[in-house]
Amino acid sequence: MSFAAFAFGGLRFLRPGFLYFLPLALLPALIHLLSRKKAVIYIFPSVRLLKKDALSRTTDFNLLSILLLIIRMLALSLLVFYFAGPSFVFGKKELAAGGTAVFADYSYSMNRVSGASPLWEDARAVAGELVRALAEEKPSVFVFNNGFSFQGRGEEGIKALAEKKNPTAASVNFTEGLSKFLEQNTDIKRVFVISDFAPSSFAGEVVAPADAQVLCLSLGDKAVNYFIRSCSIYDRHITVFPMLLPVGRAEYSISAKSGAERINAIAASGQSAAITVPEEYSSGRIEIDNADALPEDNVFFYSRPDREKTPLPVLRGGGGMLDRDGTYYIRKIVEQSSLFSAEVLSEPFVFGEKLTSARAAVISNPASVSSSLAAQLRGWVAKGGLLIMFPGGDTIVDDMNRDISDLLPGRMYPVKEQSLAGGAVLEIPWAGDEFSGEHYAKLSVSKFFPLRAREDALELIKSGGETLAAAVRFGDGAVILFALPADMSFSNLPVVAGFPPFFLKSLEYFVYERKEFRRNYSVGDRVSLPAGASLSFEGREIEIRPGPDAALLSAPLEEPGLYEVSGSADGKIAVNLVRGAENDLSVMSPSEIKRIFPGSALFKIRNPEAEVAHILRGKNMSAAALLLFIMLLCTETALAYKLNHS
Amino acid sequence: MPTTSSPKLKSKFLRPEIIAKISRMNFAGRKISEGTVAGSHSSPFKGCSSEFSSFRPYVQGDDTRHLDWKVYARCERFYVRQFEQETNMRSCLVLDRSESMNFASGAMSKYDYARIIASTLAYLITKRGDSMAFSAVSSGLDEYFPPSRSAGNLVNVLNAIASIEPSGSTSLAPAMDIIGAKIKRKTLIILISDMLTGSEEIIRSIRTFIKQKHNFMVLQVIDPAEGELPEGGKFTFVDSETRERVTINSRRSADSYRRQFGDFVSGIENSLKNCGCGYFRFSVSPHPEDEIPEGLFKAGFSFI
Repeated sequence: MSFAAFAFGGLRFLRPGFLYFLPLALLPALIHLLSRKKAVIYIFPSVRLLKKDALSRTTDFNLLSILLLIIRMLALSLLVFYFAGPSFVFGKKELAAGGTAVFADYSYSMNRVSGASPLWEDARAVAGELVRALAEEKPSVFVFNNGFSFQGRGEEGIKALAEKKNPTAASVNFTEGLSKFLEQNTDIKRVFVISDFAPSSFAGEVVAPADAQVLCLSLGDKAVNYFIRSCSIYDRHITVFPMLLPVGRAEYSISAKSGAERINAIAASGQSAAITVPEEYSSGRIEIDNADALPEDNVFFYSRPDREKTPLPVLRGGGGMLDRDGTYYIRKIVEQSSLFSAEVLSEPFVFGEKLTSARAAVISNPASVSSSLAAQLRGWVAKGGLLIMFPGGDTIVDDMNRDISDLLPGRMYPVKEQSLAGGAVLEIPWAGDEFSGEHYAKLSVSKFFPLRAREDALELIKSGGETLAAAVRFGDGAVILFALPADMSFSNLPVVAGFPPFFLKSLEYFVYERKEFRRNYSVGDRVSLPAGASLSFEGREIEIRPGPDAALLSAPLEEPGLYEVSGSADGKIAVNLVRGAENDLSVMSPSEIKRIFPGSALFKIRNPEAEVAHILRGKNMSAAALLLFIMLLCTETALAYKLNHS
Repeated sequence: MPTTSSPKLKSKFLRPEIIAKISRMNFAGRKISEGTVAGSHSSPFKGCSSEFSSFRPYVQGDDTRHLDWKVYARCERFYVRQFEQETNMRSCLVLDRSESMNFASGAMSKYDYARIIASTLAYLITKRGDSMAFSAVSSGLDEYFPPSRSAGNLVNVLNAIASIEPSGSTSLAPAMDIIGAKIKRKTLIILISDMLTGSEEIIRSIRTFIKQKHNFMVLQVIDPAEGELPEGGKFTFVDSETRERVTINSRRSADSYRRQFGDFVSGIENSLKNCGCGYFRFSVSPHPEDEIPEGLFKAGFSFI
């Protein structure tokens, strides 16, 4: 049936065929007329005493009878109306001629099951109903998550929706995009937004032209909203930070699963919990037991493959006590790691020999670097080695600048006595966001080697505008140069909170992780893989293209889960949702939705098939008709009783 | 003395079995009758009679035959002996002949029943030697027979009772006013009616009669079916007098009507009794020979 449904003014009917039963309302009157008995004539001595009870003269009786008749007819009419599905357009102006656009939320939160089916299926059903009801207008169908994309017009759009996989992408602010869309497409006069109206998808206010109407169709009810907000992975120990709502739910249990197998489970309380993954499992997922409303709302984890211990040759320049050139502190830091073993060497040629079996090396307090060592270093770094250099009191900067200027990330200058306090850690690609300013808050420098970083160098640590550490790529390897010695003679760097983890993290990354490939991604990210590797998910190959630096880049990942890497590398990649957004199932209240969509009409959709028609036709009056019918039925019973017993 | 066996007194409403029961009945009215001839009823007038009343001093012109010589012998004064004068009773039978009296739920209508009562009373009164007037009333005075104690009057009255058929509407009060104008002496007025009229008016009229020292007796005749509505549902009741139509649901109004009718009848009875009027309510039955004598006795007639 078309939108131009059977209508009486503002009153419209979903199933007007039932109106053919409306004459049934005359049934009571008909029965009344047919069953009306002719009164028996009775000659009576005097009717004086009968007048009071006379039917023809009893106003109340007559009124009640007529009222009863009317009520019965009304009740039957209402019953017919109820089945006909009445709806009423309350002063709603007919829309000016123009196009219609249907926007369906295609973000991950639409996977939530509300009622019998996922919200995404409901959204598709609603969009389908809309398109079918407005077939003549051929509405344009869009989906939105992080942006929106056109799917087609009319049935073509619905077909495209049907072919789409379950949504996986996180949504970003849709309101701005919709405002721009309406501004640019002035022919669109009616926009349907089908969504669960999660707060993360909307911000600000939708600005719609005065003659355009926005109708918000809200899907799903408020759901149980327990989910894992974030997760930190430390080898086989995974710290989970759940979002537990309501707040009173303090106790929960967490399971680690590999496929369907539960490999560990713990009872926990509070704001975080740590669960250990057995060694034999390198990947899996963590979930809050029986609490996640989304089927895939859980954390996929990976654990790195076992690593062999790597020697770390440390060349100490100059002479004297070990603690003078910082090797003491370096050894102490390296001792904390099970992956490296520091070997302090004084002879440069021995150091040069050791380089062949090492993947990282440290030079501390060198006076200068001989040409032979410099050549060895160039070859070694170019093949992928990491060289970390600390100048010292014995360092002759001019020699250094002359002999290994190509290896250094910048030009060094003679010692400058200047007090520097605190430090800022700049973006360190291999450390992620593990370091912040707090780690170097207590840094205190009395003198340093001013360092002017090269253009292609990466400044790592700065303090008071001075570069304290910089890195540069050299071939497949890299060189990190500090402007401070590794001892306490110039500064307290070795004991600053951020230094040891930074040192170890740098070693780990360049020695192991850079070659291993990253295993932790979010939905929407592109996976970087070594050349010759391939990526698949649930048996499907993921498209891979050549990326920078001879690496490979995958297409943006659409679904959370464990991805399989094969070819030149192997293992699994954990792809998780952007935490705190899409798996947060909180939804906006009607007033919040109205604030974002000012002047819009908001409809709660529970039964797409029935309710879309009513939305198009106005206010659903079926329930009111049924209620009124029941009330009239009660009144009729009471009146009939009164008439028969008065 | 007329008898029922006399050809002239032949009337279907004069029942021998009733006559047999009431032949020794007399009316013991509370007020003394003021008749014109000596009879069986005590009269306020002193006259010739065997019943001694009192002495009074002789005055000139008194009949010397009434002087009591024995008193004179004792006290040497003339006293005249006075006797109570026995007189006949003046009666007036008033028969309601309105259409409403024609109602009959059984074999006998109210009017026929009233005619039996009237005929019986006419015979009884005449037999006792009392004068009797007769009138048939509806909305006015339709028939009137002046008071007479003759047998011929009885015959005429009985014939009239038998021949007058019910018609017209009931409006007793004007008719009674006319009758009141015709009655010159104290009279026993016997009204036989269903009293389905404006009760207040007729009671006011009756009260006026009683104030004028008349004896008044109301013999109300009702049909048993009048007090109950017929069963079956919806009826259009047609007023037998006015032809007015009233439709009611008898099932719904039965109780209400029964209550109203009871109140109406008892209201009339109380009003009449309160103003010193004799009253009895006859319910039409197929055995008037039992009920009429008993009713008359209860109404104030006594056996002598």
